[in-house]
Amino acid sequence: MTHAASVVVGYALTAAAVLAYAARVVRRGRSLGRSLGISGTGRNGDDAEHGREDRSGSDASRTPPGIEHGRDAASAAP
Amino acid sequence: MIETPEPDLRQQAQRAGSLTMTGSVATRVLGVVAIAAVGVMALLALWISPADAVQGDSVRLMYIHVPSIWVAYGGFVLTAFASARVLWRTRSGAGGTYGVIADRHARRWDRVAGAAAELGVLFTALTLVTGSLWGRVTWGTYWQWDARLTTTVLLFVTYLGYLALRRLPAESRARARRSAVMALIAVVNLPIVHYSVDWWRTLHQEASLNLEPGGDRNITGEMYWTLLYSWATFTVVALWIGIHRYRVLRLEELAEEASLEELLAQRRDEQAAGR
Repeated sequence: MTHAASVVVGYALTAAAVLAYAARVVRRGRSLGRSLGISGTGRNGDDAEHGREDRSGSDASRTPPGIEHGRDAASAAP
Repeated sequence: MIETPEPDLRQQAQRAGSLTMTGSVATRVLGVVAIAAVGVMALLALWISPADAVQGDSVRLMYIHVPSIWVAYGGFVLTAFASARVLWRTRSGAGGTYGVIADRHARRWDRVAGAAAELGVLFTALTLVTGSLWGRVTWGTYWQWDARLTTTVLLFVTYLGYLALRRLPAESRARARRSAVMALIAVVNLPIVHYSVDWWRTLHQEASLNLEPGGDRNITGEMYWTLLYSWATFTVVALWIGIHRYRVLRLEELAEEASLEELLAQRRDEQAAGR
């Protein structure tokens, strides 16, 4: 491997690793935010409703405080 | 125990129009600064800074290799500091004796420790990879069981173990405390890694920068300033990702608590239906 090639490989690997990690963190945050119905899209009601769809039988009384649920979330969104 | 989501997370994300729930105006600004800094760093490191008389172009690897380990050191020191705070705030009589962590500050320090350790592991891995590439063209080999290299790989493996320990299922207080103890043990290796080149005869050269008062500079001029600038850039990038990771850890806690509450409610329903 030449000196120049080692530099290219080193910089490329560093950039790829940092970008991959950052993307993973952002994706995880987005996924959790949506599933909790508290994503920062400004459409909390929709997101909250969507996030709760697969939680059959859940109702507002079971939803932990502060995690908006369905229609309540829409009114709670600033 | 359910704790309400910290309102600042939601407000910050909404102000920034973030899709991720981990973004805020501050992280957006930091992100733009980080990207711009990386662009300038690439210019300095790949074009403006000269090739070394002996090492040639491979010296440019120093601008990512050295800042990587400095950022990793910073991450591990922060992990140790945060872990000490966790142990202090969850000691007997201060945060209960078992179960979840009641103290909000202890939870925050625990998240800081987790996020910083992950970044430390990432940047230690990058240090090892870029160092191997440099070793191949300079020493003629990717790896030597040299004191600096061996202690660094030990550091990497130890903190991988720390991250694995954090993932083991347990009540949050027990998990935080045992992780904190491990972090305080793991950090002992840090000065050994750093001073290994002074304590033992090694293939790895001595520290690139001697920061002690009156110490000799091993590098000067454009190389010196490029190295310092690269370190600042890596720090900003790590800070940016670290803030997002911290907020993701918060969301993970909320998800865990929400699913636990749901399971408990389901069990109560089953019991009520059985009567």
